[in-house]
Amino acid sequence: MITHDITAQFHSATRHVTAGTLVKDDHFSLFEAVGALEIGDPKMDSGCLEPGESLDQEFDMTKDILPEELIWLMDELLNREEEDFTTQLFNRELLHKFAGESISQIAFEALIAVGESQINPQLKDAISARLGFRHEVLGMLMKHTNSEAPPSSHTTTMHQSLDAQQKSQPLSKPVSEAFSTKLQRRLASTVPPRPMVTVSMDQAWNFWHQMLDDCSNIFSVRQATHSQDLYIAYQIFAYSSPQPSTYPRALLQMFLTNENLVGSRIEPSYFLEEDIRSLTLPASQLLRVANGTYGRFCHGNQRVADAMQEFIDRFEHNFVNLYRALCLNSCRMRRTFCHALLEWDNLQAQVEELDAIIQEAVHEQRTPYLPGSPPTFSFSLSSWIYHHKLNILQLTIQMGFELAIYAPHELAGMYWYLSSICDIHLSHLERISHFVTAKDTEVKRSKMTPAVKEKAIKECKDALDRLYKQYAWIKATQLLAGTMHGIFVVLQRYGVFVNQQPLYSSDMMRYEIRMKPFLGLSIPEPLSHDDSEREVQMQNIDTEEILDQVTGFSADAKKAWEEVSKTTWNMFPITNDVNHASVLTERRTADLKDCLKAAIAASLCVLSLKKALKNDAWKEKAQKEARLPAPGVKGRWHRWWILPALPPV
Amino acid sequence: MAGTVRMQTSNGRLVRHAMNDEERRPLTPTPTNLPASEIGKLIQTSPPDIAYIQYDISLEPKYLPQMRALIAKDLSEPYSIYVYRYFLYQWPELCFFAIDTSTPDRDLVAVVICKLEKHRCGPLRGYIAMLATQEGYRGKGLARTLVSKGIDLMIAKDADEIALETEETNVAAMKLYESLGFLRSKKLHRYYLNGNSAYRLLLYLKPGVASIPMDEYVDPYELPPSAQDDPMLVQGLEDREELFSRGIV
Repeated sequence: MITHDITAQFHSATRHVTAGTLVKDDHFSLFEAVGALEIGDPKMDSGCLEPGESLDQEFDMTKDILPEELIWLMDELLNREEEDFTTQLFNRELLHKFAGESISQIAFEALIAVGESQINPQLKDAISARLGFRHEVLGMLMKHTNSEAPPSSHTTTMHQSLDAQQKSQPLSKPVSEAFSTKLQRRLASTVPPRPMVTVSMDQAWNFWHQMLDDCSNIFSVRQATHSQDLYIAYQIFAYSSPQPSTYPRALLQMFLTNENLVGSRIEPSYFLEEDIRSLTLPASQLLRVANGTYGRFCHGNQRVADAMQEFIDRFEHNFVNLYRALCLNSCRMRRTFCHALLEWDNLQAQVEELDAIIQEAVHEQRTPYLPGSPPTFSFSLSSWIYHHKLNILQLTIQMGFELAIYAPHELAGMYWYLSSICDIHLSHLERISHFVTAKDTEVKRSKMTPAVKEKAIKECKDALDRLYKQYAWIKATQLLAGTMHGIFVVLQRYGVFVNQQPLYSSDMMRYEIRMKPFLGLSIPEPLSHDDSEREVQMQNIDTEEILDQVTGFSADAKKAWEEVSKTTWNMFPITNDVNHASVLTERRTADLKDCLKAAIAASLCVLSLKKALKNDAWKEKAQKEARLPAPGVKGRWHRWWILPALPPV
Repeated sequence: MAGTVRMQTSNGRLVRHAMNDEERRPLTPTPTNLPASEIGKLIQTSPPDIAYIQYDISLEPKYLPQMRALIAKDLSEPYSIYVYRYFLYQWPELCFFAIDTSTPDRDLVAVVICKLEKHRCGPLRGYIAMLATQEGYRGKGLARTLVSKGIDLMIAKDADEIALETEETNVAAMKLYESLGFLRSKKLHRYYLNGNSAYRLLLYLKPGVASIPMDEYVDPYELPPSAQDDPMLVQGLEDREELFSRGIV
């Protein structure tokens, strides 16, 4: 290595530049600047030492320590979990060159060695509990890589072990130099600087208990034998409170693609066809059935066959990605859905062309759908896309309530928007039902063999049943959203949750910000700000009338949620899973109970607002005291339904 | 004045009928079309012993150390001088600070630092990077005034929109920006290095900003902090599929 001393040249060059000048090229971004270190600043420069201080860790890991100190070290390590799941922890590689089995073996050998040692029995038990736990956890993680759930007895053992560890923690003795600030300074040398996030030991124990439960519970999604049920199962976990931590969510993602099978059950292309078949194309020969006797029948039309294959090939990733999105943290999930909406919108337009090709090939006859409207075609494939797109749209809007994205003055508008999307979705489901019913009629009239005919008839009937179930859910959502819309409009008329006339920008431009994810959609066609305001504010309807109407809505909403509560989470048969049988049912039941509580709270709120109609003193009080309870706070019945906390009337 | 009558549809749309004038409520008022300087006058305050100064590079020796000292108090991670120079060298005029004229050295007591550039080859985006007020000087409208001065100048420079991130727990900051007309556009999970989540706040300054086409690339700041320093993840992330396949959860 040859070095050149450029001190003189450097000094000479800097004389031409005033202090504060930044010399950079176009690729030097803020991102780069944030990663810069100041040499000589002890907070950023790991090489900057106090006089007498050495650079390297002073902690000698090979020297003997007390059993009490060992306990403390093991607990500290348990404490340092990294929330975001990538392969690096504070830029340190985690022994990925070693196989799990080897480490498990060492833990096992250590366990034996401790058992045979002469140390105090209490300390022996404490250390054994810790070693045993690590051995068990490693075993669990290794099973996970094969999509294998540990038996529930195993999970119970690990919980008990955590309790034993927590109980024996007071026996420990700190070894503070083992987690030195030198390591922290090393962290600050990475790009960008990164402090160590510390949690208390209590939080750590709780985290591990929760994670063990999550790791066990997520296997319940394997009860689902159909794409539609799998979607519900994944949603149940996505919306659990608390959301499962990163590792169990990563496992849920892995289940979707492990060995290129979805849920260890079915190839992605068949998974997609299964979903379409069960919604818009029951008993259709255009779609293959996994392990079925027949392939795709395209009426001898090669153009149809090619187009269908191309559609399936292109779309299987988009479809599986819907499930993967449900495994993300909720902030990222919502943003991912916003992007997915535009993708699905584009695809819907393209697939309408495919539908046209199929119409021609099968000689589909137009049928009048709505009385008095011109006859139309089924557009089965693009209908399927539209259905999922509307689902995503609803989720996106509702997650905005959960994440507190909307300001109080926006709630009237967002609940109105949700109810209008539900309206559109209900109409769309009716449209699909119409064509499924037509198919049912066609099948009954056909000359199939009796066994085949019976199967086809059942498929159509089941499709209609499921469409009805989906309809019921969306109807309940629509009624409650309509109620919430009314509540917030009336509150604004009482002067509560009104936007305080900000001077920058305009309401129209704020509407653009809020609706940005949806403005790019071709269908549903976005509304202009003026049109939206007109629908939301209901200027031509007096307050008393609104309150009467939403009294009806909220009563209907209660009934609707009660109806939904009577259904099971699954619409298809499920596999028997003794270990996890009730998890999904329990969580869904709890969630629906909360929706019902919200509906009841909504009707009580409407009653209060009615009483307060002429009560100016109350309105003034409410303007000052009205609050929106955050998730987890008393009065927040459900993450998606924000009932206001108002002073008593 | 009578409204029109419509039948209730099966979707449960509300029946409309005539309504009294006195019960008619105005729509949320749209703001007056004031020029930026006039808006500023309505927002900005001038407490006694406070002077507002617009930064320029000659002020670095005296005031940059004070800015750093004030801002560093609020931040969990240290920023090198290059971060400050990145902003102050390129956009000195977008930095405003308040000084206490009654102190012997006319000390800095509040500061805002901003930038203004094209965002992903699309809209001209103003960005409020740092804002801090010395304890003891809070509650006097200094932060609000400084932010307003920054916004006014960015408007004068033809900004299409203004953005910033703020910590979920920073209630005071969110109140300030929301009272000026900002909305939360998204939530960022565990965005800050201390583990707290953040909200992105946006203010559109011209109609049609939402439709300005942008380059499709993944904003590195949308990755979790632990992934941001991995060059493999930041470069070449062309589409969503990549994001999934890298195992970012």
